[in-house]
Amino acid sequence: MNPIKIAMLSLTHGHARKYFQSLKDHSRFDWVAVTAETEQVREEFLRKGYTVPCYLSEEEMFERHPEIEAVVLASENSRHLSQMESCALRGIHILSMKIPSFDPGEYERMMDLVREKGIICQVELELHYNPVVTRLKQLVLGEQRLGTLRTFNATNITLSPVWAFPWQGVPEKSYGKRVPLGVGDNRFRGGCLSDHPHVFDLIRWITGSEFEYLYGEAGPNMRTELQVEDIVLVTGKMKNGTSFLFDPSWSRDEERIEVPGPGWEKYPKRMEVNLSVGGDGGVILADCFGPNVYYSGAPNDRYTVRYTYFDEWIGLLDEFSDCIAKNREPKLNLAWHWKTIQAMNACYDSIYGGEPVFL
Amino acid sequence: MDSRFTMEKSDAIFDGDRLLPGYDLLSSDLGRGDIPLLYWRMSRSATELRGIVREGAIGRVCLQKSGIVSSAGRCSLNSIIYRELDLFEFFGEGRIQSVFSVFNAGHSVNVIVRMNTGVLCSLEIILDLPDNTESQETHEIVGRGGVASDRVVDSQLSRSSLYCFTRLAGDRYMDTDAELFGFDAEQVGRIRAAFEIYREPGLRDTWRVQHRHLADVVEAVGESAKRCRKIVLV
Repeated sequence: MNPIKIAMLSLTHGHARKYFQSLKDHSRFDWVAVTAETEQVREEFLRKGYTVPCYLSEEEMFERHPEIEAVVLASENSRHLSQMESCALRGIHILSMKIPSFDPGEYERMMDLVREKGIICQVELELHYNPVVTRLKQLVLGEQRLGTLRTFNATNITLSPVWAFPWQGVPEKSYGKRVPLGVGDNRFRGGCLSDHPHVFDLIRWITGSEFEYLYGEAGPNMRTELQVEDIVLVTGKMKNGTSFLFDPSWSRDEERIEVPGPGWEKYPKRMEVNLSVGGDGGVILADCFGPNVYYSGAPNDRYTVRYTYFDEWIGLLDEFSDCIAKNREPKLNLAWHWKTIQAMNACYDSIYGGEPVFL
Repeated sequence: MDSRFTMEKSDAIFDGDRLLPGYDLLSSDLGRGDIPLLYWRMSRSATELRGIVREGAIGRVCLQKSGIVSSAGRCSLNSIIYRELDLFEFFGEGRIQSVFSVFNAGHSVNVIVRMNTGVLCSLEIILDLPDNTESQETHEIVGRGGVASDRVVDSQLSRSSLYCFTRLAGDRYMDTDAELFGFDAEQVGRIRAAFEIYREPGLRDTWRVQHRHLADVVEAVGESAKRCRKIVLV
């Protein structure tokens, strides 16, 4: 099979830069073009030295590169539908960022497009290609080490990406519209919760069950200038009885820099996904991004975690190429992922109403 | 798998090349097809530590320290000396200039090393762990601007990515490579090192040259202990 001609649409998403080296090195893809939404972002990309043309117009890119067979949709959430329409009309396969849309109508339109045009649409939830999660699945699902599951608790905490990726602090761009977080609250949906779907997805895989109810509360913001939430806790139960507590907060402070790089974090570890899973057979504690190596020094003389094991994008792209080659539906497809999005919306509803929300 | 590729007990043969961990070639001259694998250089933690040094994050390096606690049933002193002295050069991008070593009953060795860059290094090896006990390894690099280490601050033992506690046992797992899931860290390193040999054509000669140098250094470490004096390498 010839390598799949692939492009990146927008370089707006925080994960965009994770694809650069993977697309360059991956033998099953031929990276042919990218688009940037501003001249500044375009220049930033060109400075990295990749020999891939970067356009400011999607139309121009598609005109000049009719060979494009697939795209990585690396844009802000509010642009996903229009870009998916543009790709679907051309029969181009799509690898979407983790939140295709929070809006049920938009989401249904996306599913219709994919079905009608017969294209592959995979949602980027990279934890599935993490070796620690693979081990967890093997022990819990394969070997049944924990017996009947009772508890699945997880952190999915990071610094706030807003200063590097401002759209994540704009409710209309991250959540899709301006919805108050609570009665009398001057903040809006679209912050940390909208950024962290992973553990809501993972619990469905590990328990084989769906959400029964969720209860969420938002704390006072660490960053008072944000108009979206940055501290959230969620608890509830799955239909099989497994209880959970999730922390999807942006609870790690950051330097307010425009381009992510060394020194971005103030707290030593800028991102963490830790799992505590219990059942009648025992308990598993897992750190999906650790242990690592550590250092103090430049640029800010702070003790810092240097992420050491972090190659989820390889497996993710492997699956995307395999689905295209075999015309196979990805396991992380739009229909599957909608129930995760529903659960996240239920969290927002619970935060708003102060009561648990049953699904 | 490619039919030209075979695995024997401790080495791999591909197209007539014999791919062996470098320390396994210490006792004989390098044959034409012998390729010493410096596979520890492929470990992600080694790559990141080296990256931190090369980026200048900790400033000019002054001191490197390695501590290995393992069991004699699991590895030999010379294999660890070979590996760790190579890592000193890999991290610091210098060349070992002198060594002073103290051996004890073939189960422990302490070495003080000076690099040609002036960097001072210490290597401590203790092989008195029971065979069923997990090895402990630590690497620390001290610079004028900071410290880098593969051991988190304020801890003595190495950590794992996943701990499983059940009534029967407590297991721990360290999974670092999704593409090679199921192989242990050493196997992952050896596989990746073997691939690197064929991906980077110049590496074969680079590692053969480095092996000869390391063989001299390992011999010097033994000689230093025997004579109780510093050995300067030329």
